[in-house]
Amino acid sequence: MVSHMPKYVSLDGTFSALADPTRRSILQLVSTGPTSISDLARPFGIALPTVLEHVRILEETRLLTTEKVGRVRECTLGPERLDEARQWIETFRMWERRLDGLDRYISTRTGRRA
Amino acid sequence: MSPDIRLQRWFEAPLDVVFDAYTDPDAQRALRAGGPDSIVESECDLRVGGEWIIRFGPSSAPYVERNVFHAVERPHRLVYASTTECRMDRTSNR
Repeated sequence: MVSHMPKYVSLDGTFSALADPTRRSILQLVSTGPTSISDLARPFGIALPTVLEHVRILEETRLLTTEKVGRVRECTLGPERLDEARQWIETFRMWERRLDGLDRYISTRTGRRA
Repeated sequence: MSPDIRLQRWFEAPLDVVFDAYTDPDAQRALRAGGPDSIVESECDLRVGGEWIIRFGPSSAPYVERNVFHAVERPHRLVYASTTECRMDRTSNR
C-alpha cells in the first residue's frame, strides 16, 4: 500500500533536523515567541558557534526563520514544516488504524480471535 | 522526492477473503467507525475505471473519498487513485 504526497518535498530534511535533541529544544524555545541567538545559547550552555550551526540547519529546512532586528538576529518558528511532518505521521497512523480495523473485521469473519 | 508511506500487513486468512473484505461496505464501516454521529457509506464499482465512493465522518459534514480503480487483479493486487474532500479542506493522495 503506497501513499504519494508530492507536496512534502522537504520531509527528509525536516525529520533529519528534528533528530537532534538540541535542535528540538531550540524549536521549543522559539515556539514561545521570537528569540535572539544569544538567548538561545544561554539555556543550553553551549558555545555560540554551535548554536549558529543548529540555527543554520533549522533555517535551511525552514523549521526556523531568522531576521535581523536592530543589532540582534531574531529566530521565529517556521510552522509549515512542522505541519508537514505532523501530516505525514497522521497519514501513516490513519493507514495503521485502517489496517487494524480490517484485521479485526477479517478475524470476525473467519472466526479467528483478534 | 515524494515521501511514500509503505505498510506491510500479515492477515491470517485466505487471500480472497482479505481481498474481498477490503472493499466490503461492512468492513469499511468497521475500519472507519468514529463517534455516535458518524456515518460510513461505501459504494464500490470494482472494475478497472470503476469508482469507489466512500462518505465518512460526522453526518453533518462528511468526508467524501473518491477512488478510481487502475488495476483489479483478485486476489493479489488492487490499485486505485484516491481523492478526499471535506468541507474544510481538500487533500489528495494516491
